[in-house]
Amino acid sequence: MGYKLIRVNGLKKVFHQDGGELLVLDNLSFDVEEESFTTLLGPSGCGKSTLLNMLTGLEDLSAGTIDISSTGGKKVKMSYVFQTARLLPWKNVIDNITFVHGMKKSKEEGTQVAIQYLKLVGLEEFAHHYPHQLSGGMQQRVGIARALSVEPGVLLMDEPFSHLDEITAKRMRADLVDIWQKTKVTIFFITHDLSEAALLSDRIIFMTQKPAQIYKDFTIDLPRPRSEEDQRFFELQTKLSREFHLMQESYERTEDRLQTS
Amino acid sequence: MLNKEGKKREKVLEQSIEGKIPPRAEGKAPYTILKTRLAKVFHPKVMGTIWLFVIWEIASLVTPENLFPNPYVVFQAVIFGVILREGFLFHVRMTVLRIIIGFCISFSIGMSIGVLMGAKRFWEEFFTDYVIIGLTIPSLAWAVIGVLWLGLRPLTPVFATAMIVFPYVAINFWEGVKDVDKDLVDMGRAFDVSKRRIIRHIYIPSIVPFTLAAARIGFSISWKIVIVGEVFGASNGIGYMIYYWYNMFSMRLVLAWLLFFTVVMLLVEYSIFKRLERRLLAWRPQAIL
Repeated sequence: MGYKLIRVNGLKKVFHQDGGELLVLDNLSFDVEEESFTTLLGPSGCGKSTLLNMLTGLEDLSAGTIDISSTGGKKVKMSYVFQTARLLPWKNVIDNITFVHGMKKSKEEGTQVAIQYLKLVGLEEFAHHYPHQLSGGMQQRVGIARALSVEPGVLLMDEPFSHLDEITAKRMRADLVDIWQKTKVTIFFITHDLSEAALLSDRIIFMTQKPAQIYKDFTIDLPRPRSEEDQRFFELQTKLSREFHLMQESYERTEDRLQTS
Repeated sequence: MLNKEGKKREKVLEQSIEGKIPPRAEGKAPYTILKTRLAKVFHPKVMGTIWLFVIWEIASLVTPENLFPNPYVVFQAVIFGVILREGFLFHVRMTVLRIIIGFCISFSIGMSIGVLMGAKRFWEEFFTDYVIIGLTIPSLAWAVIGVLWLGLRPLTPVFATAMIVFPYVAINFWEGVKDVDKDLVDMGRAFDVSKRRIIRHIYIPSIVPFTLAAARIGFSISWKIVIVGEVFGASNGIGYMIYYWYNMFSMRLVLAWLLFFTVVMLLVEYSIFKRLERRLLAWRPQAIL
């Protein structure tokens, strides 16, 4: 703990479309500590996914820097869990996991690693199933196993439970905390769900509406396992929700000011 | 200790867990067996074929014999007038050869154009009009142009086939490449999977169903066009024989050749395409197949 694994500095993203310019991210700076569970919380459509694409390198930066490296300046391996599982429908669970390993591992080695992580997410019995034979929650578990199987330094998760029903999502959240505690992987989690963020994270970074800026940065020190019935959790949630409304109001005020001027 | 039946059941259960067979394959009641047998006899395909012959028979009863010979007479003609006649194998071989060559040429051209169109904006714009024009030019026009350009050569019908079929193949590949799930490609790229592996494991498998559709359509149009082409531009082959019997005013043998060829094409469909489909698309849920 303590070492800053991801350092984002003065990040800016402008999209050029139909001759006009759209500022999506405006001067974003934050960092993510090693072995932490850091959550980026923002309203829908505030550019969270754009930020993620920039972290993964699928999108160029308009300005600023992103530095993801470990103590020796070594590049850190990143891994992803997406909103939907994004499994190849023509490959079974094992082959879906070994697909992302590339040529570095032999077939037996890859299979072994795959099974090991399938056990971690509780799906080793389903190693030979095809994705369409699994429920949405199980597919997302495979996605998590796949992401962990490359033994990443950072795991980026982009609203991974938003497409699941609430009961499944609840179980998955509890399991994710378990997995995180077991593997000690650094998790950078993106969500628009307040109570999800409160339940999971060590730290929540609040992002504003477009053009997105950082509004506030909370450290959460509630003991784990957290429960939604817990009084302290309830208070935390209320506090976050109040902040959220304050942010929303100030955003609307700026909007009004911009429109009247 | 498990007896034989128990072991068998355990095996079935095991396989069903592995997703090899559906779990309800074990222990059927006699009533269900009877039901499945009846379902086989009254299969829609069987019923469809029976209907064809019933209507054919009725039509032959109310029309003059030389316009609409009854099925029995035509079956007889298939055996004695088509299969056992001299030169039968030669004509069939010529036609099949033309179909295969024409199909292969049009498939390769169509595939190259279609993949380019799906992959690159420039080529999409470049080829769209050609493909649309290609689809609208009547097949007869190509058959006539082929004869005028190439004369009555054995491969003249192949020219018409290639020209007519490639736009259909191109359209399928065009759609196929555009249909590739971009999210999956992004997933591969995010995980640093090499471009080659992405093409091999994401692009190609998602294009497979479109390739099968292209092959099917391409093949079925190919054989139709080859037959037309043979009527105009060849002195042998099945189309030529149909034309020959047309000139002899023999509806019986025109129908006999047609029936023979239809059966052959159905066999190709079931023995090649259906099997290919089952094998290549085994991962799909059963309901789609």
